[in-house]
Amino acid sequence: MDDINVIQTVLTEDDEHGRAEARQQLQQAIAAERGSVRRGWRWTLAGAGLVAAAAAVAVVLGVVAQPATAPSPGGDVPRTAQEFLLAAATEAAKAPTTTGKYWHTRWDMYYDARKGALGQNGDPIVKVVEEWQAADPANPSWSSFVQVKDGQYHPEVGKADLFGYGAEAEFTLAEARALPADPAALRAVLVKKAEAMGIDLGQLTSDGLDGYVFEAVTGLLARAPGSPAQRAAAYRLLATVPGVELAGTATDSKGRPGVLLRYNGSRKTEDVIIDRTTYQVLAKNRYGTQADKTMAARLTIQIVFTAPGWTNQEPPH
Amino acid sequence: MTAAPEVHPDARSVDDRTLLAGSRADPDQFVTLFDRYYGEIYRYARSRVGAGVAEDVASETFLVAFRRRAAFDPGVGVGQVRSWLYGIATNLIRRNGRDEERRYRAMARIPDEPSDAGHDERVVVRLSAERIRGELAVALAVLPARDRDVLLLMALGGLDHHEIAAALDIPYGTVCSRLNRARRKVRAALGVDPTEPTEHKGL
Repeated sequence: MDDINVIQTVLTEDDEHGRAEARQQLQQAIAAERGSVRRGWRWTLAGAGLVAAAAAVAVVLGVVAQPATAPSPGGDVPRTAQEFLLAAATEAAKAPTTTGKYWHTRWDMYYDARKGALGQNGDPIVKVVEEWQAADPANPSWSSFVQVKDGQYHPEVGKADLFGYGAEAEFTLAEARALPADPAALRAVLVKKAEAMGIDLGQLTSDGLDGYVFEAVTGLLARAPGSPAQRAAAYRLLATVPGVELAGTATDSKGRPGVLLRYNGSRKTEDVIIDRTTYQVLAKNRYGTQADKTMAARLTIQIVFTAPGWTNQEPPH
Repeated sequence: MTAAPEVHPDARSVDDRTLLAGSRADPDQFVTLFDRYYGEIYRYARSRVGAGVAEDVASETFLVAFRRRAAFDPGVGVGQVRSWLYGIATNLIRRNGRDEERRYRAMARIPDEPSDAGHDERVVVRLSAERIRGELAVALAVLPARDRDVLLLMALGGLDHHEIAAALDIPYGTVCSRLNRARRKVRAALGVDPTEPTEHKGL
């Protein structure tokens, strides 16, 4: 054994930490450089890389998880995620078909400035993305990406042309509107999309195909336009994803109560809060590891969705 | 499938320099370089400055590289994006020189040998490993920083002489002389004959 080998053997520590956070910082730098072109929202959704294992959600920033068996003022709590999601599918299929000039979405991202748990260092940072994508590609689309200051939200709307839906932005509006209205066929499209993304899939989710399907379907339900049949298929597909279970009830950062639907993957845990009546996805919770490297969950980002919809109203520009 | 097929080049087959060049116009391409090299840059930093500082060094390495990507000179030699990243990491580590030396000093504190050590082979093995660790740590702690950088880029990063020259932006001959000097001292500290002309192979 020569000296170089000794150094290798003695010094080498074969572990890895901080990848998700470093990646997020890099993507912030990229987004900052892109400036108004992409309006920076890509990185904020890319918190998907954060990993967590254990998943006892504590009382943090308006998210209060109750055991599923606890009595609830809103009536009977569904017994299983599958039962709840099939009820959602039935309800979604009955919804009226809507149209409009713009597909309007808004999501508010709550996170801690210092990479801690939400609420740990006082008030969270809130950044708001609002988008108006024209149904007719010949018309301009608009978006705004601003940070809430002193509790005040003032959108800064500009023309934009990079929109997307899914786990992040991997489906165009046209693609999202053409998704199959059958759960198995929808999964096949998502699997094909994941395969096409290859290495980039790790950017969207660290948890393989099922992790991606969970993220993509909940992302589509939260933000994408879909016919009643397409939305019903999405809820049915979600009911088949392994590791999806009910984790009680919760309230999002805007105080809206819902059912906590949890994905327990092999490498990460992620929640969505779903409205009990409308079955709309209210919020997504993402977890990181503790600063001391234990795997106890800490809620690092909550993305709160305003119900999306078609509108004929012009954006405030 | 109803979605239009998308062209996604297999990122792994796109070579580093193409990615770096492409990232000037399309910054997202830089993320692929991050995915490719974060692990080894982290481990290199981890081995030198310990876990706490390593995360910051590794993260900062890619931020610095991203900001300086326009100034990267593609005319140096093959594999140089990786060397370049190691060079940036090395410079950041040097800013944390006190952390590095503190780590080696901590490693150098070997526990007293228990009286019944000879009765348990595992204890002996552990103690001798710790002794080597301690001797090496002392030797590394007293090496001049510039010599230590060259030695550890070879031992931990697996860079060859040319790559080290590119990473640190120093002449090839300087790499050779620093490496010889550093290895002589380390071999002496480890009790290996310092005049023995061992040429490290395979790197």
